[in-house]
Amino acid sequence: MGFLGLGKKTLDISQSAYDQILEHARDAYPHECCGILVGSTMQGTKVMYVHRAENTNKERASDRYIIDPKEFFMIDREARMQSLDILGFYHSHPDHPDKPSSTDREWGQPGYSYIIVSVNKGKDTSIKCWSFEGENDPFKEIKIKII
Amino acid sequence: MAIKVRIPTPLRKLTNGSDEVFAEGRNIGEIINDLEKSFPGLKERICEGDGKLRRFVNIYLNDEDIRFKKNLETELKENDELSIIPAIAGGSI
Repeated sequence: MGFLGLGKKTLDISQSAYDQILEHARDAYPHECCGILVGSTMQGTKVMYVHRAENTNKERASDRYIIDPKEFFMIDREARMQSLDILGFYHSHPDHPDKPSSTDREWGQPGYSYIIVSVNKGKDTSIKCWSFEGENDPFKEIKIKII
Repeated sequence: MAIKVRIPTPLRKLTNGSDEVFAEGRNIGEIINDLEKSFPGLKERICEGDGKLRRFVNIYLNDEDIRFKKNLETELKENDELSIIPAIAGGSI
């Protein structure tokens, strides 16, 4: 375990939160969905719930997403009131692999977990989680453990 | 005047793990300069070389984006709170 839970090897998530992410990804198809992972790093990195965010990139919603900073601010405040924290984010890649793109890396922030869902033709899904520590490091895969 | 500043996960390496810190200043620019004194390296993660806010960073004063106020020159009053909010974006291509 690294600093602040960085260098984490697994991301623990409940079955219901996991299912909600997949459902959101299918609902949003052919557009990208996005959302916020809220949880705790007290004992490992554990997602307690997910928040469906609005993809505010309306012009390129099929291959881009943006989470409104105001939405981040509200969810951060809500999380803090419960002694929780924003652990990371999820988004979908319609008809693209569940791997970070160069755009994901350009906009990625160190220390957060990024779940990416690939949605093939609106139905079949695959899901992976990624993170990086140093500002110039590449994304590394983190195992998702359903608890 | 000490102002509370909310620090997001990506910057906590620079604040020794703290998610909230205090800094002195009459406006937001002064707060950032004071933060830099306590936590060297923080300013360059928030501002460009010319002193303007980086495009990957948003700052909220209470619940308002400072870009809709006077940006870094926005004046502060007692009990104000600042939140540093990273831009969250990406995409499949």
